[in-house]
Amino acid sequence: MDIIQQIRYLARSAHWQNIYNASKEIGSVQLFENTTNHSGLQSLFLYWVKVYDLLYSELGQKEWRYLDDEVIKDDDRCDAFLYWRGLQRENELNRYKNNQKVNNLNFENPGQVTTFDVDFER
Amino acid sequence: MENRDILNESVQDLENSNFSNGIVQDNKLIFTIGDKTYRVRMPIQSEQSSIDHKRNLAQLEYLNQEGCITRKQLTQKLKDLNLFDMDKIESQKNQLIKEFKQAQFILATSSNNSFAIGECKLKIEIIKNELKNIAINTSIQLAPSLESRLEKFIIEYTTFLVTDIQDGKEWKRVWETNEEFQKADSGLVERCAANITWLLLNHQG
Repeated sequence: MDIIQQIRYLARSAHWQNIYNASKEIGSVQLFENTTNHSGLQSLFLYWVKVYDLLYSELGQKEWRYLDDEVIKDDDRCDAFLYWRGLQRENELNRYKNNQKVNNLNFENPGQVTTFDVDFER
Repeated sequence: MENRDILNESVQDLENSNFSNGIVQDNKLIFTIGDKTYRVRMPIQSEQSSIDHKRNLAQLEYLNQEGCITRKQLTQKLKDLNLFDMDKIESQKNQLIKEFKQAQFILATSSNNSFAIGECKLKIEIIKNELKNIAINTSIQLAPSLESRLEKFIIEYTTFLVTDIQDGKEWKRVWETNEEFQKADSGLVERCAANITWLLLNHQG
């Protein structure tokens, strides 16, 4: 098992997920011996703890049809899911931006609209 | 041993290492060779100053040496001699990344289809290996360049400074002087250098 695999394995474990969640609520509970000057490995671990925390909470809310326990346990499938999830979020954002653009157009008579009715100054 | 073999061995060595919880608890990497336990750690400020100073001196020394060539010049020369085309390698890499993303998309949306999942995982593994081979090959081809030689120098000098060996409950420096380091077993140095490279690459600057 390589370092990244090992870090991800630890980060998604119930033990570290519980400590991470407890540390958010109880100040005296901390993940590392040092509280500052985190190494790259520690930062990497923190990153994955947060990612898995998010995934477990989205799994609980059944937010995604392609997310299940097996996906979280399998690094390759988890990476693929995160990539796909990123694309979905990007699409959502673009759709929202396009809707905003349409909503910002000012029509004099909504329902009877030609390009001449659009106030491009706004 | 060929450069490629040494690199492959070092990469494989890191991939196969069984790291414990310790790697996330401090800034050090611990590993064993035979019955001895070693560790590499991030250099402290004074050591870092020494590394920077030595690096500058080495750069001046290399610049005065005959045949000193920068990475850009070497890339062009290799291309002109039809030995190694960096542009071609870059486009090959981009194509592989594109295929990698496609495979990831299929893998993400293939739940309940164990055959498709297996196929996609295999394809991803193959692409990852191809990308790794490209990286190793590129590094070998560009090894004679000034930049690569300086990188090698920094890694070796850092290895000399920050490698400790466990002696009972204490950690002691493996090499007290640069002369001792120069005479050291190359296998041990390679292993330590591979670990310090990993540590440096994963350190937040």
